[in-house]
Amino acid sequence: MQSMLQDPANSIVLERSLFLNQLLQRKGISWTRTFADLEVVLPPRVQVMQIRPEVTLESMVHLDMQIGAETPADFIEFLKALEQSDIFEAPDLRGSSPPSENQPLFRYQLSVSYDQQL
Amino acid sequence: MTSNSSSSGVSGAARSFFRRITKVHVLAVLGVLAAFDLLFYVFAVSSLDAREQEMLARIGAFEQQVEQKTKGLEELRLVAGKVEKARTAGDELLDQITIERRVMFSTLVTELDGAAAEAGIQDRDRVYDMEPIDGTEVYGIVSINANFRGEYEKLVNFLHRIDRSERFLIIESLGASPRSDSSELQVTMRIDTFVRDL
Repeated sequence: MQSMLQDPANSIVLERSLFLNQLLQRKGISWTRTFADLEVVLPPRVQVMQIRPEVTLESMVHLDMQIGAETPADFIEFLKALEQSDIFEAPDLRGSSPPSENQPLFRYQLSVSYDQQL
Repeated sequence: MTSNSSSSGVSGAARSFFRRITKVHVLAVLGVLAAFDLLFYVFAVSSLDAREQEMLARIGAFEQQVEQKTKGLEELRLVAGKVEKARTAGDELLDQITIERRVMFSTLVTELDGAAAEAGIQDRDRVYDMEPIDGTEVYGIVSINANFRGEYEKLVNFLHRIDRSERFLIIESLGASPRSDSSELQVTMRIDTFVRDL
């Protein structure tokens, strides 16, 4: 049976099925819902500058985000809101940069698990 | 006369021979015969029995192997059926989610322009990039880097339209930054879709 599954023609079917499943899962993420859920936890002076959802092999959704905040305290408020949320879990802060000439906001690179009710 | 005397001589010798055989001799002979019987049973009959047992065990093992192989074959048939079903379902699904190469750009431009106009966001520049999917010459991925300008509510409306689109459009990433000269957002998006018949 192992050799049958390893047969090139069949392994292509298997790979393609995995690829299609991944695409369907990826398409299953609703951006409307994502924005609605983020609106609940975003404090007034904090904004999402970049967002990229990723579906893991375990079918979990992770959001990679760049967050802009007017002050570090605003960002901390956002972090606490994520930590207390039922749908966002385990925020993972990757980096931060202070305001610059072109960009007046404090920027934070953040990844968070997102349990979207599909 | 001569034959009578010789036959009476033989029977006399036999009689005297039998007279000399005692019970002990008979028992000894019977004992030897019993010992031979025992030896015959131990070396011939019982070893035959063991061989038969071994043969039966072998037959049992073969039968078990046949049963296992049959079971394996059934499982293999089941898997082969599933693989075939997956192949057919995969083909159908790919036809549904991909856009035919011949009409791809007209379809995409119509879809994105329509969604932007209905949502009320300003359509800016777009870059299209088409590449074949690894391992296939028939299917490809089209990545669209698109820029839009508009207010937050309109952006969410646009996202909703893309979410609900009949076309298989995947928003891969989204970037938004407020414009300094208005309340609008400058939005950058990467949208992926799939094409067939490259």
